[in-house]
Amino acid sequence: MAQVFDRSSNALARMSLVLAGLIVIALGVALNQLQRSPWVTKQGQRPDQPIPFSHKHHVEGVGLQCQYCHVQVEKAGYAGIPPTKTCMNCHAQIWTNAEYLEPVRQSWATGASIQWIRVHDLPDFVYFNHDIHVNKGIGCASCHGRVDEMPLMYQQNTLQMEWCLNCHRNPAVNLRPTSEIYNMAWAGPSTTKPVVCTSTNKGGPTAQNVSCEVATEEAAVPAGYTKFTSQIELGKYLTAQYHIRTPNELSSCETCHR
Amino acid sequence: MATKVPINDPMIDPRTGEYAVIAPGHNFKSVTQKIAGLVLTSNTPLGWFFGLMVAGGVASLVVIAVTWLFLKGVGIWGITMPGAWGFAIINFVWWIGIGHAGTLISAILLLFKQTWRNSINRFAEAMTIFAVVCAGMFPLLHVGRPWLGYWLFPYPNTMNIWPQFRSPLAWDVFAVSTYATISVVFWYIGMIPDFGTLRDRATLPLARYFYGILSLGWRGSTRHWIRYETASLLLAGLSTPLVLSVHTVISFDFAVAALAGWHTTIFPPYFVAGAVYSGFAMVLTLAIPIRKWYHMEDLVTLRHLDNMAKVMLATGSIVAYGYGMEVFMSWYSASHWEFFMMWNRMFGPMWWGYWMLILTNIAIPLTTLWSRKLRVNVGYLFVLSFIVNIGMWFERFVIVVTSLYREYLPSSWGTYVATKWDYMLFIGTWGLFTCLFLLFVRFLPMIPMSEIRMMLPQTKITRGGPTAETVSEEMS
Repeated sequence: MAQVFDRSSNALARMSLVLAGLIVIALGVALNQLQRSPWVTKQGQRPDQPIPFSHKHHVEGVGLQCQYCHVQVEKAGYAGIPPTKTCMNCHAQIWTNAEYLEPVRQSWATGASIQWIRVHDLPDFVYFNHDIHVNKGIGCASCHGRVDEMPLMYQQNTLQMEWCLNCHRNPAVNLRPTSEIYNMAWAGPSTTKPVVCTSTNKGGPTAQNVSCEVATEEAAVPAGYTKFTSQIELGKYLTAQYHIRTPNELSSCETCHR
Repeated sequence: MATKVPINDPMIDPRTGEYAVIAPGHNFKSVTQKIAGLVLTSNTPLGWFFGLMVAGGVASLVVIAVTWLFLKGVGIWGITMPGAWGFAIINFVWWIGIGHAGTLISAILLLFKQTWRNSINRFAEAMTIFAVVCAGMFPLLHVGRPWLGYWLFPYPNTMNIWPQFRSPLAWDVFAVSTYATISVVFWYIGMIPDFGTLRDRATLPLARYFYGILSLGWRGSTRHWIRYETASLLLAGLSTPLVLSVHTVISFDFAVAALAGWHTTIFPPYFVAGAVYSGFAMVLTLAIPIRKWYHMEDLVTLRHLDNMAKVMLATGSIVAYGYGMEVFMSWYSASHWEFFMMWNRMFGPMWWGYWMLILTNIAIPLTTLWSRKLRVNVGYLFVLSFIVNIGMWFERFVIVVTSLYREYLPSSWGTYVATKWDYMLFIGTWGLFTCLFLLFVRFLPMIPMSEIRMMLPQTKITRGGPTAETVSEEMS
């Protein structure tokens, strides 16, 4: 009787062993990559907004500060999208005939809201609070990226839980003086651009007791001020001054999931 | 010892004087022909098709019940507050328990060098695997959001969240998945020499390829056999603590909780004993029809049934001790709640559950199994195996339901009434189990040929016994 399997089966059998291992590894790597891919997180996607609003033009070009439109960001959990009224403050006079501003004028005339498409859309079981971050020294750009360089809005970061927790477990790497919150170009202290801070130590609850300035390398440190040349040193100082809670408290479920 | 028994007993090997486990008259070839013939035959018995049809029909209930469950949610079951665990957990523990006898037979009896295990270990292991398949469904199905079940596995994820390793329900995941894996590996490794036999005896090219691939190029060389035996022994040594720990972990689901009736330190050993008890009952349920329909009376002899009944008697006695201790401790604890729990079990609204359990688990089996006459009475054992399995189901029912529905606060007392969906899923798993078992019986060697061959008197080398020549004559 002939052999059931000919010689080539030896190679096939060995290959199948290797292949099975490779498939398992490939599957693991692929799934791991997939869950963090922009396809899943929607990073960098620019949805079709009713009006092609350009942050680049309004922030970098016109020089508006963030709170001009997002008025509640320091006071409420929800930063807010400006109403049509805010647009019409200027566009009642400027570019009154621009075709792509027609939806704004329509909204103004009819009273119907502009249907903006939300780019940073967290699930509703996450209770994100803007004011606590802004008041405790997290700048806009840390989470939203360089919005002043975005002609159309997109999501810079993953907004995944691991991303939130990375900062809640080690906030010092992202803390900045509250005076620099809306500074899109803030890069943190360095030896050439040190930051000097002083604390009034009135025992108040938040950042209002701390005053920081960006100094130059040569300038003398004023009396009562401390000089910082690295983000880690500054971050540690601000963590203490802002009374930022411990990583255990900050990563407890009830912080975000109520 | 050989001299004390009558010399003309057919079960005594005339050459060695040892008690034979299988009936005399077999040689290597006849054993192989008998077992391999069942698989390689082109004449599948009609009864097999009929059985598969019926079992498949019953198994389809699982599909219906699960579909409706996924569409509507776990609220279609009879679970309420406070009785939030019901049939799903009862059936889970019951099925897992049934599986344990398979591992006991294949692993623990191997460590004790009990050769009588050889005739029954293959289908006992198959029973284990199919019971674990049925059991494994329930932990997934009884959660409200089964599509998130994978969160129970520790894998790196974007939430930076890991399972809570202090929960026995998380241990269940590891226990059951390890148990399933090791059981399949042990079962498969045991079958490799038999696949080799089937490959060599198959005439259809497709069957030759099928068993050829499964046999992994087994040639039966000495080197193969040494490693095979070492691997089997190692796996048996690994499976033995595994089988004890798996049901222990399952008992922790209850014993770790603070509920009166659950918070008991006796649970781990007593659950394991109960598992072996119900598992052996299931082996009997399967072995008795198989030996009859497939004419295996000479391989699965009355001695096997007798031994299995003895194991049942032993484990049943441990279970009885467990019940006794529970009753004693609920009185001895001087705990108001413990006392009420036991009183409620015996005389509360679900008294019938408790007494059903005492009747079917203790009263009937433990009084009758002492008699050898009844232990070798096939019909009686068959009926008894059903009785014990019913009893062991009621044991889990009593533990789960009667502890839950009347707990510490009288304001949260409720009741538990199973719905048709509870029954449908449970009955469906019987069909699934039977389906898988029928497929196993048809396509895989249900009795390990290689191990039976080693038990034949021809393998014993004794003074004045067979020489190599006579053995090879018998083989041809």
